[in-house]
Amino acid sequence: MFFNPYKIMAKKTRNTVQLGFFVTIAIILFMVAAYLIGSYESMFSSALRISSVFHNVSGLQAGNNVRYSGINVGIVESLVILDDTTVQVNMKLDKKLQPFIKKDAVASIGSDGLVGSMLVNINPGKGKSTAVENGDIIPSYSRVGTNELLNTLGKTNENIELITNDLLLITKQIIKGKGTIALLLQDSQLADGLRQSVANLQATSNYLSASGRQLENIIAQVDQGDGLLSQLLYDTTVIDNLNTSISQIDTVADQLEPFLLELQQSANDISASSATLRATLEALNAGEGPAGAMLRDTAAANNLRQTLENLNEGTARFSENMEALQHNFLFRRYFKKQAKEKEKAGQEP
Amino acid sequence: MPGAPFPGNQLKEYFRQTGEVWLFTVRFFREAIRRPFEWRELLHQCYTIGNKSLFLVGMTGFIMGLVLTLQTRPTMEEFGAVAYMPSMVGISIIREIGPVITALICAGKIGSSIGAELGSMKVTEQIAAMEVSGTNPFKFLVVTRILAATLMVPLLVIMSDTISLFGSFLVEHFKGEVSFRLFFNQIFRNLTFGDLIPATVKTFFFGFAIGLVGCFKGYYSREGTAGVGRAANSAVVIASMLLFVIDFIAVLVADIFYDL
Amino acid sequence: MEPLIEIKDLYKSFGENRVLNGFKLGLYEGENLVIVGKSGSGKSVLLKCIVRLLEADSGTLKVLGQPIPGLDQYTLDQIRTEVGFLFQGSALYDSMTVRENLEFPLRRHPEKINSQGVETMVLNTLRSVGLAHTIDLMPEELSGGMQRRIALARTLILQPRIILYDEPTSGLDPITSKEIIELMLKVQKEYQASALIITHDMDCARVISNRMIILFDGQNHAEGTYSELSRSSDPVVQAFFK
Repeated sequence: MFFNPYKIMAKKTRNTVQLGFFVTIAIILFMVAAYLIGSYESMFSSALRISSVFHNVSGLQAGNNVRYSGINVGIVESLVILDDTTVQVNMKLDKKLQPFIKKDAVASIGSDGLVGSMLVNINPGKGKSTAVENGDIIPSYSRVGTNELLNTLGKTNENIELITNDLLLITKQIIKGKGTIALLLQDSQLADGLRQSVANLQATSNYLSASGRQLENIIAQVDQGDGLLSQLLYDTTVIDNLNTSISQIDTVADQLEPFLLELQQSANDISASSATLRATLEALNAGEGPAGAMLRDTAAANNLRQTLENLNEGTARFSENMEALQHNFLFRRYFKKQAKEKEKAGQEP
Repeated sequence: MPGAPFPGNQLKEYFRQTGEVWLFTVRFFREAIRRPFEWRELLHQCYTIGNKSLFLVGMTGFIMGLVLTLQTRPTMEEFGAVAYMPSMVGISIIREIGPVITALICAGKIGSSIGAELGSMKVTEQIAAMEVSGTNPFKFLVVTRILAATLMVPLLVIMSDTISLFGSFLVEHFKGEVSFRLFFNQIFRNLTFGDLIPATVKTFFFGFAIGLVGCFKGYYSREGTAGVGRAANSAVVIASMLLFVIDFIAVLVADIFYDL
Repeated sequence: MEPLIEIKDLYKSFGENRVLNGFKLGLYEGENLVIVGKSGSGKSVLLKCIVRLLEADSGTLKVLGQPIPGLDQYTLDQIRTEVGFLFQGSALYDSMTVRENLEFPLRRHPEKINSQGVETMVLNTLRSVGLAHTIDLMPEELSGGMQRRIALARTLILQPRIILYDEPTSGLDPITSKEIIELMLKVQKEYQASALIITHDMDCARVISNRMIILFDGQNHAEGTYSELSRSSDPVVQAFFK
């Protein structure tokens, strides 16, 4: 009863065990943290080092992430100013990615979300190329800034406005210019037959000359008296009508020539502007960060939407005109029909 | 002379104390490397300082993580940057808040208990008793306590960091449906050794400062029970102040080494 | 015969306050020397100077033939193991058990451990103060008198040649005081130690002293046996024997 050394010894031992437990846990936690950080940091121990040269790195820093097709694959190792306008970005990537990144892969600077840190995006190249090697310098794509983007779009807008004006003029000319064309435009029956029309304006102009020749043939055929039209020959009123029509066609053809040139011009304009537009859209696709920014920026978005609407409108009008034009070129068929109708009209009285 | 009434004397007192702290520190290092070592007392102190503070430190750590996340979340939500919560919380806890808050808690708990214990030992002549029995009270009392604080505070900080990250995870999990794996992936992907190492190294200094101040104040406490109270109180106050000074220096030094 | 403690012309002052003013003393083998003085007359200071808890300002201070001031730490610690010190308030280590209190000095002076081993030495020492059953108690569980006895045991365990008693009966009731005094006499004989006792308890002095010194104004005011001094006509001396 006097003394129980074991009680105290046992307590001491228990304390020491508890201490040991605590120390072990804490050290393990530290090791785990160190390991986890280390595994993210030295994931690239056998690293693939490539670099790319930019004019503007938009605040990129050493340690920023590098993404390939949106996956984090490495970090920016260092930034070296090469000369007054270019900066070389040295990247450290996971060695395992070497086979996937081709020599024509394109690096661009982006940002991780609206408020995120800057990063380097590597996008696969278009063509087939060999895999990159250590120390390669891959091409860079300088993403257009938001301002540039808006400038381009503004220019596109102006272009589209010009095109629309041209088209408007053309349509007015068509409507005012000749009764026949106006008539043609209103003739819905013709539409189906006329759909098999030439695809582009170049071909159309060829057609025009061809139809000129064919017109001659028609007249020749009429002269020879075969086909449907030959019957018309006996009807003098018809012939008169036909004569007038032919002369009308001549004038139409004459008038059509500048109009076609104009049309060609506007078509060129449109293709030019659509090229710009495509570039813009590509930039939009490629530049992830500012694109995101753009899309969230309502002002920019409205601008963009307006532009696209204008563009749509322009294209719609253009195709309208095209159709109208196509109608005009198949004179022969038209005249066949016209003749039939006139025949009917002649027979009626 | 106690209660120095003139500013000149106060200044002199300040320099005297600073000088004494310096001598105390030098003595600590001299005694710490000289045999024999008080292993058992060191273990005992490690237990007292470490395990006995674990609950308090864990509790405050947990609440710290919880509150930090709860309070930051709405702001981050406003910016649409909720996805950055884990890495933000992780970096701030590991780098700064965890070490500093835990060290402050330790200064309160460990610093005051060392100050009061040694102070009362001084007052009741226990320290003198050790001295006159030809043993070295400095080695037995001071060296072990400072060493124990130096060793245990970093471990306590690690525990506190872990627990507060867990607290933060709970908030993220229940408010933002963030999975455990995503949360910790986010944290560790954004942490570097440049965050972890300086933060850990400075906690050793925190522990050293807490132990040193507590021991100094206790060891040289004045006679009487009031002296003991003053020793405990000034140990906490001075240690807390010192922690911020060390933290500031640590940030400067870390900047040099890690070029952050 | 060479004195165990030899003090000559000892001066010690705290600021303006001169506590010891040319005090001299010689403690010889086997004697119990009692120093009597008023509170604050510098008795405790004297004891602390002997074991260098305080540094004397000037004078000769030799313990076991070694001059204490300026002694290197190692030799000083060796001498300290030969000089036991019983503190006024016992000064037991309150974070340790009785056993640990006794083991504490012993384990740090392995040369003092005899063939019996630490365990037996602790028990024997406790038996000699009659408190073997308290070995695993904490000091706060003991009464003041028991604490004082444990403190004595802790002093004895190193088998010192000299024991310095600082007010051994202060704070104790008369009966306990008497017990302590008897215990002191017993262990003095058992351990063959000489004692330097400072006290203002004349009962204690009467029982234990072979020789007494009256300390007054920091100097030896009078010296002699209890009976000699009790018959003194000096008013200062008389004041103690009232």
